[in-house]
Amino acid sequence: MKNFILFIFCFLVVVAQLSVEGVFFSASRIPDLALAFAITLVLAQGFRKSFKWILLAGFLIDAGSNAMFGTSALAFFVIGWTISRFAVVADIRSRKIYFLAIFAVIVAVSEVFKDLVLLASLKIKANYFYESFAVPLHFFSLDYFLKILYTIFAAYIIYYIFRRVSRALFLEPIKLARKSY
Amino acid sequence: MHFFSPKNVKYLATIALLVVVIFVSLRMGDNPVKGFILGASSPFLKTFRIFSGGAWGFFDFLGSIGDIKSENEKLLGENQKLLAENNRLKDAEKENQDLRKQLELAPRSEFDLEASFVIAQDPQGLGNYFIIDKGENAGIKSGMPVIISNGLMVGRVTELYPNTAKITLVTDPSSAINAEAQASGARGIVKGEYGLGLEMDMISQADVLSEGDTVITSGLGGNIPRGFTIGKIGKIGQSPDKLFQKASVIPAVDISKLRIVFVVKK
Repeated sequence: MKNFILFIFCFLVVVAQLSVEGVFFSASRIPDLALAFAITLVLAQGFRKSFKWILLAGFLIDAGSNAMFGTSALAFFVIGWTISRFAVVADIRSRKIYFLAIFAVIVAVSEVFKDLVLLASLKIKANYFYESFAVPLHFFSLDYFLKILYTIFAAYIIYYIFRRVSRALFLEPIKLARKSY
Repeated sequence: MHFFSPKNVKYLATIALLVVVIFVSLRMGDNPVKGFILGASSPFLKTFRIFSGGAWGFFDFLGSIGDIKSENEKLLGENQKLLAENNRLKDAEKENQDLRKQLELAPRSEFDLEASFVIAQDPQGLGNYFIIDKGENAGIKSGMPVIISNGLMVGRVTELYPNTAKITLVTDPSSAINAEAQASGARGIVKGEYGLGLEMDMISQADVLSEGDTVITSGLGGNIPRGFTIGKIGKIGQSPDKLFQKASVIPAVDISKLRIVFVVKK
């Protein structure tokens, strides 16, 4: 049951990112719901329990992405594993405001890291097929700043929904941000 | 904890496996797994897209109620003007048909168009493309141009799957289309720029460009027919080496908000 709910949750997040967000946001400002989902899972139930869902979300996003298949999955996996190795989140989990701040920093840093991995993937792909490569994003632009900001808000919302779902359906309140590798 | 504990070794092995998957997918080109995932999720993507488009339209309508009255008056005036222009164009159409017959050009209505729904867009914001709900099974081939109903150029088919296809928009940095400014006849290449912008480059210094001139596909090279509208000339400038002119091109349509497009099959 829990696995089924997590699958639906993961699928809905990916469908929303692929299909729905483009209606409301311009292409370069689309919040990364799949990344927010991956971070939420790691913070909520630890990397060991969540890595298969992180990989699934990554592969589903890769199906609609321009980068090589598996790139997002790899980026999400590395991000999830790295987050799980930090104890700092666990130390401040009792203080809401610090937790929110650290959560925002984690999302922002993860977004930049993931985009760097994707750019590397696109560059390798372009070299492989002898195509010209134009960097499709500017890290120091308003668009990118807003993309990160929207992703942070999306992460808060997904985290909140996940906590509610977890309490109501899994009958096990999540153990916030526990170091779990 | 030792870094090379059994658990960490398992994670490192997963990373190595993912790297292998990435390079295998690179060698396979159009990945069948991608095609399968997109094909299986296509009905969901389409449904969500249509509903969210409807919701957006409703909110957009609510926000624009105040403007409707003044817009209505403006439209009434425009309607009168268009009626007069319509009569003039009917004559021009007849003349056009006669001329096309003489020049043995295919009339525009003879394009074989495949109507498709836009079901998804770039999830990462790293490229200007979208995915449609028709693919190889509908007779679509790579490189075919994609337009919207009134002949506005949108992009080209770049990746094909059995039931879906990826359309790279004219605004993508990797896109380059042979184009012509309609009034002056100046030829150049329209390239995509970051952030849904367009630029017309490689225009001869001898050509006279004017702001607001319509840019159309020139039909040179590739398989894009002549005459699809791309946009209008904006700011005119010089290339860095001063050998050519260049101009920004304002897209004729908000490409990011498209719902239905047509693939030009023939």
